[in-house]
Amino acid sequence: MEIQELLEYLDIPFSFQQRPTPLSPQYRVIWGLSILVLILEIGSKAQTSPLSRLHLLNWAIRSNENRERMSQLIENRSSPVAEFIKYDPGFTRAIEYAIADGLVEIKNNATNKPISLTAKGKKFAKELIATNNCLEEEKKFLKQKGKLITAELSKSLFKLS
Amino acid sequence: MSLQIRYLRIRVSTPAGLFGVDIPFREGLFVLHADNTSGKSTCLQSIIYALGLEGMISPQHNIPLPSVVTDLLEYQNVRYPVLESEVLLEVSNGSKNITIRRQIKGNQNIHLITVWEDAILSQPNISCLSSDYFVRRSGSASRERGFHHFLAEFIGWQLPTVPTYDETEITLYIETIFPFLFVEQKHGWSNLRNRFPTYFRIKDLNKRAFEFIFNLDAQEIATQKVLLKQQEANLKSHWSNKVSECNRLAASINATIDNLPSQPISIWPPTIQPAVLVSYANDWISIGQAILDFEQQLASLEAQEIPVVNEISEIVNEQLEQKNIEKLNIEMQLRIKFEEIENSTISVDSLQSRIFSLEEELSKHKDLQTLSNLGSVTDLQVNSGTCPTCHQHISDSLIAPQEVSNPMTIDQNVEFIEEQLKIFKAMRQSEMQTLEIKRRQLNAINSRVADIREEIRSLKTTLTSPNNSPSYFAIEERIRLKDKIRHTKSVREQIDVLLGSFEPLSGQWNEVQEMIRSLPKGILSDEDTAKIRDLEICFQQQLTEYGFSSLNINEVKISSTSYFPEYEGFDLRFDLSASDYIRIFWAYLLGLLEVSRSHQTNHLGLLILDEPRQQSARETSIEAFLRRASNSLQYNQQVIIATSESRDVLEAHLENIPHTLRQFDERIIAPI
Repeated sequence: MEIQELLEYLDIPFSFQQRPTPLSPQYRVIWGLSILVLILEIGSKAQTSPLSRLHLLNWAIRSNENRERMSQLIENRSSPVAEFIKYDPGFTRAIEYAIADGLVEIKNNATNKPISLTAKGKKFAKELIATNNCLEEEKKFLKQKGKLITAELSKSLFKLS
Repeated sequence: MSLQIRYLRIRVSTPAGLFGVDIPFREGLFVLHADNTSGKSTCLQSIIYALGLEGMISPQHNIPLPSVVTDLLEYQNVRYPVLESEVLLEVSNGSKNITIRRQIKGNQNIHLITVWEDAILSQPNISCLSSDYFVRRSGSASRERGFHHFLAEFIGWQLPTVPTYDETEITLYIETIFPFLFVEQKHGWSNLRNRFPTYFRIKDLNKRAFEFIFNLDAQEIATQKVLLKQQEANLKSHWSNKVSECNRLAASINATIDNLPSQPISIWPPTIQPAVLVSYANDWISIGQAILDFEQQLASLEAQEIPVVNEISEIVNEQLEQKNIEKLNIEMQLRIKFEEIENSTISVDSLQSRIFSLEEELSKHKDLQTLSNLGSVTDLQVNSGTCPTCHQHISDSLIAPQEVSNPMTIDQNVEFIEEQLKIFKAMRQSEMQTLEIKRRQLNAINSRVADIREEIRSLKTTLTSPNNSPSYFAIEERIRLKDKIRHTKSVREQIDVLLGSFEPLSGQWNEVQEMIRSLPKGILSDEDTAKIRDLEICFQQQLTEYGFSSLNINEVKISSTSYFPEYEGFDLRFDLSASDYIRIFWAYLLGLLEVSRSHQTNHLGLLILDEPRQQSARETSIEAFLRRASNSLQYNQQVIIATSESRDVLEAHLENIPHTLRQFDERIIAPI
């Protein structure tokens, strides 16, 4: 069939209809907010953490594979994972929303301007922790490994990448 | 099934002599009247104590009776120390009387109960033998010398075993059923449901107790359901064991079994019969056909004489060449098959990892669903789709906030992933089946290769053997073929036997399915439903008579799941005025007694209420209650009530109804 002929066959009216697109769960607003408050509540000293460390933890708990890599890194079983780490711009937006909604705040008095959990955010985190069968893997990882992932580590990884 | 209290005797010995009381009871309504603190409750609790049932009130082993019989007896403002005391109780089961004696204070072990097999209190001239039983010790409900074992037999109760919270089974103890028959004064009236002794750790105790006292089939049906489920699971595993045995046998001759149901079916053989298919070249033929083919080959071989080597050396050389070509061909096929299997395996693996990541994503979405219902989340501004800072509309996506992409809602997304999972799982399933078939074919080719090698070897042997000897190849070909026929036949036989053994399994499966179908959908049988309905009617009728006013009476129902009165599906406790809650008690407990007149139940026809006029329910209602209770006389039942109602009022209430009234003006336990 010639191209011309084919195009003639196609010469009928048609329309496109936009369908909703699927969205990876990590890019949902609630997901980002929930992970953020959990990192601060369970996985951070004094419920406070510098921004880069939040990003590192967000990457670390994202999947089984990442969790495993992170565990290996903090146990010195492998070389730095910098090449794997991806910083998620969506998570930055989640932090911005969280600040706007009063879940977290920026500590301006400290030098590195860390992010800290507010009372409202703490209440949210407590509710998440009390809810069974929800984010269980994430909670477990943060509980066991969260505080071992230090600000120094995230700083050095930042420099590497 | 009946128990009636006929005579109570309490004896207390003090340094000032013997004190005590004798109360002959009668059937029908029996009212024990005395002032407060004069010892009514002592009398009623003595009945419970004599029956060894104090465990219904508390798990403790100290004697649940007031000090008047245990420690200090006060009479006309003088106190006497109690030296010894005992209670004797005469009861009847409708056809036989017994007398029970249990010491309260004294040297005897309080776990000991003496029983005379006759009415020695009301008929003092009778003499008869006594025997001793023990009570409130382990085994008292199960061993022959256990009093509750004896008592259950006497009143005709066959107590079921019920599951506990410790995953074991124990007897439904008598103590757990008596709260339906006896309400004590102090704690008994506070909550209708929570009066059942929990320390036995019986699961859903008040339901089990109700099912027993009302003789519901529910308990039986529930047990049966569990049993049938168990049988069903057993049959399934038997079935799949047999299926895998069949498959293993088939695999030994590179065959496969078609149409063999992997789950039990109720008609055997199935309409499309299972068929054993043997791999033949690149095709599948039935096992019967394969055997026939082999036998024909053998027959045509055997029709020829075994040639001598020098006669056939040329032909053998030709055959050898052919076989070598065939071998090369088939080895090529083998390589292709290997590759196919390799590809299939890779594709199964990649499907597997796709499924794995979909499942991970799905579980995250499920988490999201949970999250979006949390209170803290619904309070957030971003959750409502508005930017908390600039109040413009924002989308649910962190990467495309301006809503260009129109993301799916979480629920849509869950559905989307579930659909994908379904497809991928189906793909994996079919890919795995293909893989299995290819493996079988590979095995078939492999064994064909081995055959050809054998043939080549025997052809070579033939060529190198002496000229006048018979052809080695021709002989071996025959032997090999015979062997193959024998083996294939034996496998076919074994598979046939196995297939035959599906028939009884199928029959059992059918039976179990029929039985499951014949059980009621819920756990209540028709008769159970009728009983509960009658109880509800009787209960509502009484509430009307007693002037119940807190709620619309027609909405107060007997739940067919909890068996207790409920209002719009909730326990009644908190919606009611105190006096209306007492009316609920009366109507429910008397309802149980009344329904037992027209239905077959395990109720003993006995109800003992200590101070039923607890919260001074209006006088009219106690009168209605007494009248209703007095009907028990016509049915040989007994309602015993202890009250401190003022004398005039009580006498007015009782004026026109059949009853027995026993009044005490002073302390009930008095010098004898």
